[in-house]
Amino acid sequence: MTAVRAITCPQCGGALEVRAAGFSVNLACLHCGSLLDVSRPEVALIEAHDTAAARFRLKPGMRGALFDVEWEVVGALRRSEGSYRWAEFLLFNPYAGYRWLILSEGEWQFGTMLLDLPQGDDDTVTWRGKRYARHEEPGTVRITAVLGEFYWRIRKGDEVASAVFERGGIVLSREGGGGEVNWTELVEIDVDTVEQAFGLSAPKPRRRAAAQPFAPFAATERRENDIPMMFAIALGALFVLLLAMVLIAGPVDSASGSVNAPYAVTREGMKIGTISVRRPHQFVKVKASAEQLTNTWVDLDYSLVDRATGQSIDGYGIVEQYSGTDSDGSWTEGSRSDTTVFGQVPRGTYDLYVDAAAHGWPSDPTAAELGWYSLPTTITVAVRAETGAIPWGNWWTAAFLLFLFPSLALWRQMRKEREW
Amino acid sequence: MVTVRLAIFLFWATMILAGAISASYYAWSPYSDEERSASGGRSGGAFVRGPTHK
Repeated sequence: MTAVRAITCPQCGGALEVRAAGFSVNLACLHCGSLLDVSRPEVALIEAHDTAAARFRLKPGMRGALFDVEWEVVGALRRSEGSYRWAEFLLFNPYAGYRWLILSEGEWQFGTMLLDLPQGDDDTVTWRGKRYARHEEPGTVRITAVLGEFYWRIRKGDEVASAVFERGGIVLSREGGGGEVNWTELVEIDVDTVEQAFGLSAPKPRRRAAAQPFAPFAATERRENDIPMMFAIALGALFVLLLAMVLIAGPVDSASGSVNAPYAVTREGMKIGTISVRRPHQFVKVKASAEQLTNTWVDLDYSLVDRATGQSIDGYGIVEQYSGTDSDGSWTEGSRSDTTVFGQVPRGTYDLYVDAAAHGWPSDPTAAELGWYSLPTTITVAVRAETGAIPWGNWWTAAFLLFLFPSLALWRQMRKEREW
Repeated sequence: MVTVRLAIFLFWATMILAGAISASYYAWSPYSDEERSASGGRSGGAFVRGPTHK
């Protein structure tokens, strides 16, 4: 179709072809993505990259006939406006010049650069005697990936101001940046037509969007997207679950007391108080806290003893606090309070007993260190038991599972868009 | 319009909600503390703790 110039990428050594030799200025290497200046006989490296070139639906070098003209894909761009992404392909024919193919949300458009520019302001423009109204708020469009060759200096990260005007099925796109403004007329083109023209693999049947203003550059106009709805439903379900958990958890009964844990020996069977479980099953939360705790841990063994049957439900807790100094400075570790949750506690009246033992770190204090020398002989631990606890672990697990589905859907959608 | 994917998600969310509410009703949780934390160790029959700092 046109003279092709063979070059070698100075970055990766890959063999390349300049398909629109004499017209193209920039070329993004198909192998490593490096940006090359091909406007002069000697190829110059503009920007080095060593990552694989981005995947596009149409690859540079592919040919296809559209509107009775044979086009060759010479360049491909991925662009974004906010979170909305799409792909653009630069077509070239030595007799017809350049055209664009735009792939947005699975829909194709054919773009022709305008030489007779529309006249008007930011709200309406007139072109060839017809008025076009602005379709969306103007935005900033950013190039996120470049592949192939272009007739102007282009690189990833370039931004232009964009506005879209519409009348019926025809869209006029205005892009301005670097002191110039370009207008493009965009018309819809059938998916099958494009895929047959370029010999693409048989596509999955796509549902066509209902008749709607055709504006691929507008971030808000797209095919039905149920992902925001899923996130909203997940959020609502979590709120409903929280309400249900609060309502189901009650009623609340509590008892509190304290234990004096001696060093090195276990003090057994200290009664804290009595609580009543008034529903068939309830969570019981036991919270322990100690104020005077330094380089010490206190083991706490809990027993909820059913007054009617004498059976006990056991649980464990620990309060600990350590500190020291090393080459990085001073450090502290541990927590002076601890919460233990008992699940599936059946209806009944329970006495809470605690076995407690304190231990020093790195070793238990000697008798000489205890008492009036430096350390107290026991560690006082305040203990509070309460029915009707809310199992936050369950709520966070539900949150993870609820958001997993829409997050995966979002990830798949973004991955699919990257492949355009 | 409810898409197939949205319908599947609605089913998924309903199952999670029903499961979590049932767990609350029966006061069941995979995170209850009937067993001692595995972050400590035993030495000579005694349960040993200490800082994990370095």
